[in-house]
Amino acid sequence: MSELRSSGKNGNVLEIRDVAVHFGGRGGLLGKAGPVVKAVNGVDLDIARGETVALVGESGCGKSTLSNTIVGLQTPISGSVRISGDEVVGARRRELNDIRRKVQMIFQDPALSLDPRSTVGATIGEPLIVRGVAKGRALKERVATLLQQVGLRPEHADRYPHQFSGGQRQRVVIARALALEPDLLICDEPVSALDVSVRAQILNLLVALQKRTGVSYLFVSHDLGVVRHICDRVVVMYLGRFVEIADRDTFFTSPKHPYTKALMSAVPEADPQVQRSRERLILGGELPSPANIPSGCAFHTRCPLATGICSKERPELTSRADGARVACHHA
Amino acid sequence: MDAVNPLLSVDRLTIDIGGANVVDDVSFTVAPGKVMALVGESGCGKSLTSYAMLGLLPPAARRTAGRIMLENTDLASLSERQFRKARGKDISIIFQEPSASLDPLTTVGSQIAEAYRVHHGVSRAEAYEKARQMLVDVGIPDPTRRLDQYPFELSGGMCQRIMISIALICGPRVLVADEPTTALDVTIQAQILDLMKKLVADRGTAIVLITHDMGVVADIADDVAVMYAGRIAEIAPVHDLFRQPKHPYTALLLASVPKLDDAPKADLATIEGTVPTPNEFGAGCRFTERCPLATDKCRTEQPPLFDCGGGHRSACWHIGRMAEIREVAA
Repeated sequence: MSELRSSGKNGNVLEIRDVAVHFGGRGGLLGKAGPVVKAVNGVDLDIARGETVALVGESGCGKSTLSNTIVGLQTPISGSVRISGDEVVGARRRELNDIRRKVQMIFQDPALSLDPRSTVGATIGEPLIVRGVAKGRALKERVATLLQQVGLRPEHADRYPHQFSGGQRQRVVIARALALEPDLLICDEPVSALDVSVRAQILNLLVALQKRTGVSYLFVSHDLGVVRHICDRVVVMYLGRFVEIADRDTFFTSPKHPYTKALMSAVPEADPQVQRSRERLILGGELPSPANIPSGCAFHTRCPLATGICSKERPELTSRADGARVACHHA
Repeated sequence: MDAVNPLLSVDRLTIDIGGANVVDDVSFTVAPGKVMALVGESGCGKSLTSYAMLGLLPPAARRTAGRIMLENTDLASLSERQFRKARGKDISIIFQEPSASLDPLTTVGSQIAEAYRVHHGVSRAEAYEKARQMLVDVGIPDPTRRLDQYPFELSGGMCQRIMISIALICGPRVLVADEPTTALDVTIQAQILDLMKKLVADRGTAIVLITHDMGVVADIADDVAVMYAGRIAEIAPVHDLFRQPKHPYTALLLASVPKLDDAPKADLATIEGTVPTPNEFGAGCRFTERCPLATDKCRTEQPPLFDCGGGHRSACWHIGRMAEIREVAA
């Protein structure tokens, strides 16, 4: 089926150029202009077919806003978002509906993503009916196949969400997301709300589905252990900008941006010997408000390497010898 | 488990909800200045165990057996009146979601001071001064200004520091921390874990840490009790538990976490099935249905906690067959 899928001119399923998303700033309650929250501030990103790209960063860094912009739930003030060659920004409603077939999204808590009053069969079949892809017998068969693909049984179609465990519910959510055979699946913390013993099942499922269908993932996560396991490339976001982009191996063997290093150092390794002997870099302070982003390099207020230039000039992403791209004056 | 006399010892604690033992025969001890981690998935009984220590069990839950000794006092036998005196002063708790634990309509200063005034009967000014010192101890910059702020003006990490201040201002000897960093970003989690380590070292507070995160356990715990469906599956000093797990559940749990040296996208070890609900508890080992080592004996007979030496105990009939688990996991 994958040969039927369209793609951009370079075979990329996602091409983002200079996207910025700002909130507020217009007249407030008393006609005073509120502060402008610069959630996403000029980012570029390509994702190739069958590739998994991780987007990591602290809450408030703009990763969810960026995800919402990709599926057209959020309108950027500037820039371009192309899904398999089709422009999302400025698309009319009907065009957008067609584009959305190619990009789907799954969220952290499967209980909140499913309608408690619909059987899972109805939930999974809904996009197929809306699109006119299948009905009647064909629909039933398609739903059965989707259930099997995610490791559930065809007879589960008649059950309701509350009859499933958290891990099984996430499988249902994944089945629905895959119903229209999207080119890109945005996974927003897909295993964070699950118990540890079922996380591995869902991660294995995502890997297996990608091998079978060639779907690409944008994997939003704060769990670097999971990211290291599942992703081909990693993007680190800080206050609306990318500060480091690198291939998985380069990223984990030679992290360059001081923020990346701090993030890695903050994630505890599940091995007491390793965890207690490694060098730690604990960041002071907290993420500044995106309504009041520090001048120059936004990270300079928390950075151990910061010097005079950092508060004055914003570093651009530049390429390094090993292919990583980093935005830092000192890394 | 330690040469030092335990400060807190939970002894054969059993809690019943609707006729099922949702906490079943749970025993462990914590020495001063040590961190005991209770680990397990949702529904394993780790939170109920900790609520019992503070007399905070929900109305449907009833302690049917066992004691919770804080030195010579059995906390489980205290009246509500007596408990009010003990809470905050002898034993305190912090929860997962700090913003849900703080009163949104009261300044953080008066929330911290309140605990001190209730237990010590001092003046407002004196309690506020004590609260200010406490904010310095938990690493909050500009404490005088912060005292007059409301919870919504503070970040999640800052609110958790306020919770820790409230819990510790009367100098309790035991702190129960129920998933204290789960709702926080990793960078803030690292700060809070470091703060807890410092408090343990400076004050000799004993901590009972409830968590599901093996990374947090590896970072801060001295001893670990792994709970499954209301029972302790395995209990051991932290290094032994990670190096030589002696219960199939622990071994599989550790194997299912992605590691540094894993091949990318390789299959992770999984535990098939789900945790049994209390009405599915059988006569034997509660992990039987999901266990690759299970035999008929496991279905019918409940394994006791076998002593493996060095404070390491495991409730499994097949401790000698752990090498097979490593094969399943690999």
